[in-house]
Amino acid sequence: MGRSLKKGPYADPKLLEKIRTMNSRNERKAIKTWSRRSTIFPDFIGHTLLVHDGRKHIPILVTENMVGHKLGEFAATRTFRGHAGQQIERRSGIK
Amino acid sequence: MSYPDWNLTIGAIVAPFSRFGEVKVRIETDFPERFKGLETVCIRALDGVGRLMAVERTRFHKGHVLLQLKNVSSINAAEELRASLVQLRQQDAVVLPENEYYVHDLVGCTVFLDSGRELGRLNSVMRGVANDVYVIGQGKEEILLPAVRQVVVSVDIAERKIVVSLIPGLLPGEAEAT
Repeated sequence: MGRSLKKGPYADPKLLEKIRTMNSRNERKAIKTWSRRSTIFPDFIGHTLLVHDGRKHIPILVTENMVGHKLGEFAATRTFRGHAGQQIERRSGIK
Repeated sequence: MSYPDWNLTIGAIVAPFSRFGEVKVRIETDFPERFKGLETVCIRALDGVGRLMAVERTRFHKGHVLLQLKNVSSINAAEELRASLVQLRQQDAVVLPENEYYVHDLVGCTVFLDSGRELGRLNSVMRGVANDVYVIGQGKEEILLPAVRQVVVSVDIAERKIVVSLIPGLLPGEAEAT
């Protein structure tokens, strides 16, 4: 069952406060967070968050189309690194 | 023969398919449609020995590609190709648009700060939903940087050099925690 609409979306209060403070100061700093369950608010856009994947913090730049999703969706907890030494036709783009 | 030029992997043979010698190929490329026009591929066995083979027919089946190779017409002949890699030449790689690079070209590049300080060697690229992440260095000194325009200033594949501009908090131990 989904979260009650009355309560609204959840985000870690400490994280939300930090981001709102940075926004009021027009500051940009990476913030480390363990709160994968936090919903991405519009206030987060443009900030870089280091989201914990269980082992390390994955840097994620929040963009407009990520609003409403949870932070954890963008830091996979399982990673397959492929077979070493192979040149595979895989691309990486700068967003 | 080893055909060292044919080292760009686009797939791996997982099993024979059908009794007519087709092979089932796991797709290892971001451009699966490239299988359609294939004429010749290098089938490289686990021991590194490669052989050039003509492709007679290609079709897609449940997330895999089925290849019919010339002179492979029985299930036993196809069985011998199990676990082999399907490779092309580097020059056959799909030309990428601006700001996109092949992961194997990026790995091994030296990463510098815009101030000129060397950060380390790019070890791997983690492909993410939001943005890719460059892994620089190893172990406890590992640095993770998002592959975004605000951070990556320039990439010079020929010079094996990447220049980055850091947002405060991106280096280990620098970030403010919640």
